[in-house]
Amino acid sequence: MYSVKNLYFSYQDQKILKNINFFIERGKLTTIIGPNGSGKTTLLNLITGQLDVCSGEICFQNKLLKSYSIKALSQKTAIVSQNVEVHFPFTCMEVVMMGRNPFKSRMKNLNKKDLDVVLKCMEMTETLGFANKSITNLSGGERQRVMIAKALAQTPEVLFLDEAFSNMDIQYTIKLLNLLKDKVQKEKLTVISIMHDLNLTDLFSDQILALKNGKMVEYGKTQEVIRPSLIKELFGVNVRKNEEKGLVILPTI
Amino acid sequence: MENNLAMTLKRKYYKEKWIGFGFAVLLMITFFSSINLGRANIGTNDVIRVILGKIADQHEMYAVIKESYAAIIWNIRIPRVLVAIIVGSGLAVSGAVFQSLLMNPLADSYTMGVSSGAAFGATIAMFVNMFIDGFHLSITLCAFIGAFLTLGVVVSIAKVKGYLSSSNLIIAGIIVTSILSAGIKFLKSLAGENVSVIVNWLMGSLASRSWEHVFISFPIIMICIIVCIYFSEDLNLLCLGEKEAKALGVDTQHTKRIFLICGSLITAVCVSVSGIISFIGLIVPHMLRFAIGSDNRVLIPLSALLGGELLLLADTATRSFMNVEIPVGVLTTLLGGPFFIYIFMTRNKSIQ
Repeated sequence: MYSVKNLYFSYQDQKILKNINFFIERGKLTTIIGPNGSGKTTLLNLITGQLDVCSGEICFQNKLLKSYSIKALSQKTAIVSQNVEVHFPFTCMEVVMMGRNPFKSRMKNLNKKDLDVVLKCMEMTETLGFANKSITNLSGGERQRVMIAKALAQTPEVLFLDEAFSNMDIQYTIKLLNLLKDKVQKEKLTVISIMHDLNLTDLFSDQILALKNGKMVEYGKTQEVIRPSLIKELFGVNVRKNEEKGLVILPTI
Repeated sequence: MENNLAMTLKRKYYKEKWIGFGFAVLLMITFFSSINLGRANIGTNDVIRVILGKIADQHEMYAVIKESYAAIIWNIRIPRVLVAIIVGSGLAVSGAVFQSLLMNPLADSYTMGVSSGAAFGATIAMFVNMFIDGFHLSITLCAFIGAFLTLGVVVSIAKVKGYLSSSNLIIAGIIVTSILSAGIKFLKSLAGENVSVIVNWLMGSLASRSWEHVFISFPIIMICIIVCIYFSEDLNLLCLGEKEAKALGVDTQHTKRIFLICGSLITAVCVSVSGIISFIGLIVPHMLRFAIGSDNRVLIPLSALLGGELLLLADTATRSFMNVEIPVGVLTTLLGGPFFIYIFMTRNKSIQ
């Protein structure tokens, strides 16, 4: 699905990403981990086409990412960004309806089919309850659920999540991660995500891409990559692996 | 639940259409009654006769009416009423556009510095006309040039590596505005006892606007409003930020440029024909957002209708009901400000 070769990116003489190479196949949930400022969001912005590549190449479905138009890309990929602030009282339903924009012709209202997609996505994310409420009056976690509903309404082949659960409580985080995991397995959705919670990352990801100082430290299957030694290397924190499943963070002072 | 929501949506579309229709009818009624009103007492029949006769080019139809009355209707009142409508529409639409574009509910055409540029251009023209004999600069033209030069300066300050960010635009706009206001004050201080000409113009007035002003403003503002309506759904997406809009298929740099140019063009024309009339651009989109929501596809056309209506009402009030004609720009702020505070407070209370 995505192949990245010799990717470099610098901003104002500062090298942010150095020689990144990887290939992501369809139907996998990949999580990018790494300390603050390691280049995670930059990498995500590059593969979503939000930023232009300095050197190296990114291919999406065997074609150069650059060769896609903004519209064509928006019909295949969706992004849930970090902390979107809305300053105008759009209703939540209006926001989710914007997710259908890539498929709709100008000056027309959404047709019945599009509206059904919107309502289904709102049902899945349990946001129907505040459909007619203004997005400006929601809590951070509720707003993130609406933004995920909007991204799902784009019926994407690839879904990018940039800390999409940062304000959500644990109940909804797990509900939505299960929902996405389900879509990955059944509908071959590809998810590329940035997450800070290592326990959840370990539980839900198929693959891990670890970044440190703009370099890719490791990339591979979750069970193989998530080792206490790697976490120590990335974050300088001691953790131990649970006997049965998952990781337990054990901070040491 | 789902069916309910689909129904609510349908009802909303329906309601929006009716509000639009209502506003249009209201504007028509206000248009005719404004022509009827004024110091000279002219009957409704005569007004209709003059309008029909002029349009059909039949002089006999209004030959019975005193010539001075026909002139008052056709050469004074109608152009003034039309300028009021178009300027009000333009100010309201450019306000709505700049608010969404800059993602700032407090923005309007003044935030971008465009109107100060227009005012500065006009001040220079008046200054030159005062002090250099045998030289006559058109105030309208100079205001126009001033607005566009300012837009160019603001955009080039705000541009970083070819990209325009909203916060940079606001900062650049505020800086340029303060420099230009200082420039205007400087010219005022040099003008000495003739300063009142400049002061009066800056206060914003629609007095003695002629057909020439209608012909300058009407086509440009109309075209810009239509362009804004055509691209209004992209503006909705831009309200969520540039990144979101791009992810939803909007060519953001291109779309931003279109709205920036349209919004500034409208402002330049408005300021050049009427001086500084503030508050319409801020208050009209806000009132409508309280009533019908933020969807720019509805907000922009309704802003045009309501903005035209409000400025026309204000202007008719200043010229008909008061003993001294006060500048309409002063009235819009005096009445609009407290009203805005009122709806703002009731809305905030109803939320809690």
